[in-house]
Amino acid sequence: MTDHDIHDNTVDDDTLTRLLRTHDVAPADTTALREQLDARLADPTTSFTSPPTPITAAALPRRRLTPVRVGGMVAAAAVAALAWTMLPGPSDGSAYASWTATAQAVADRDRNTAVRECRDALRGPFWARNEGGPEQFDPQAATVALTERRGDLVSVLLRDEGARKDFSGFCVVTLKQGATSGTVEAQALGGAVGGPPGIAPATGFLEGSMSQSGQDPISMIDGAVGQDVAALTIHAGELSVQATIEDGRYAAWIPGRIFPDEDPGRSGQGGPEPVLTYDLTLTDGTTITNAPPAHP
Amino acid sequence: MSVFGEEQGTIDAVTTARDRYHQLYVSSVDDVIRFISRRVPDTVVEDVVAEAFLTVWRRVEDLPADPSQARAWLFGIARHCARNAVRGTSRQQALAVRIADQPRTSVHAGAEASFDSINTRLDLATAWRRLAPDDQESLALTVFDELTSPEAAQVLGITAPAYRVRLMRARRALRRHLESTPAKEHTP
Repeated sequence: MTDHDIHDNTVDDDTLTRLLRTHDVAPADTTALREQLDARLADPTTSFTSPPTPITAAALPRRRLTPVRVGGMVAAAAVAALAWTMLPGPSDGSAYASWTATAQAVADRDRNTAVRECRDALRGPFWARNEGGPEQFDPQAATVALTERRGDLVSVLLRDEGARKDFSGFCVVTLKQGATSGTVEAQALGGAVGGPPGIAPATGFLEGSMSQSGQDPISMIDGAVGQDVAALTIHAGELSVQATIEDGRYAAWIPGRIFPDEDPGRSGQGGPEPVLTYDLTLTDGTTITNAPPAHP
Repeated sequence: MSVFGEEQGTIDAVTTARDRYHQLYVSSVDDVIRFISRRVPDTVVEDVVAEAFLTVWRRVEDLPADPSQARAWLFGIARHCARNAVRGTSRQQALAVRIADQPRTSVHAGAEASFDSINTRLDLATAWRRLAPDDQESLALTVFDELTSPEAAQVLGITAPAYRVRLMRARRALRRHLESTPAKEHTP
């Protein structure tokens, strides 16, 4: 073939293809980049923090629910391991700057928007398994247990309870009042199968799921409170938060960490205790400082 | 059974979803790296590939069972992520594809070596840069990414016959630009 051939427009497709391929800018050897990517991407259950299915469990041994570390961007995953080593503290970022220790009620319209965003983010359905077989948690069908607003952020707690399952889904959504859409900053799933949800003693509480995620750390907490509990204050390091209580459930989130160790691991497989203490206020006005969580 | 007992169940990632993701990742990540490398600056390749696979994981329930369709689905996601990455510098729907100014014989050494001298003289890179981005994209999906017409069509969100027409037009345009390359560039 000569230049003349090409200028006569006679170069065939295969020749043109081969010529072009000699100009390919893509690396022939991707080993170096692939090794970097493998660490970030090969196992989605340990790499990603924003999945459709539960991700790395940030665990609470001996507790009912399996906290799941989720939410955030891919970039956050790369530094998540380091983040676990830090004690709870205020977020360095601005995403949660409007956070307030005491929650406000959520307007109906905002509630609907936040719930929709949360369900979309969680997707699912998910399954939990044990000897008794799998149990499904479908965030799309789960009950909205409570919502709360802290500044520009609305959190949503979804619940799916049954004789053999006890599931929570939790989202924190940036949603200015009246906005038609929001941004899910973090979401988490937790749960257990094999029995019904535990019942909190009248003057006590049961710890539920706890999750921690992100380069810009955020931790979410939920559980059950007894019928005589009027208020629950959760202390996590230098942060304290007034939990929202509704129909026997409590929930709160903080812009900081609740686990001191690098990697809390998975529930039921051992792991560190969260750095949390609790103060209870009962309906009769009694205050219980450093109240211990109840166990069945 | 007590839900507090050691025998309690835990929520596991859906095994099948994880396995399907992993299978796609292992079989495709090298190709996705190359796909992205042709379309975005080198400095952001890693992040764009990561974003693509994050999206795959988020949408893993939509992952086609058919391997060919899964590959096309993945490249469609990768294309979307690459387009987002360059959106700040371009409002075009099509995604421009870079090629090297000079042949990189080491990339396709051997059989193509005989074309190198011709290739250099023709300044194929100049002709390529004169192509419209959608022509570059149509050609690249076949030439560089080595997708079949149905796969390439799926990546672009068009029908296979429509893609073949685009490919034909893109080849024709490239030949036309080669023909119009200044004579001095073709002088041995």
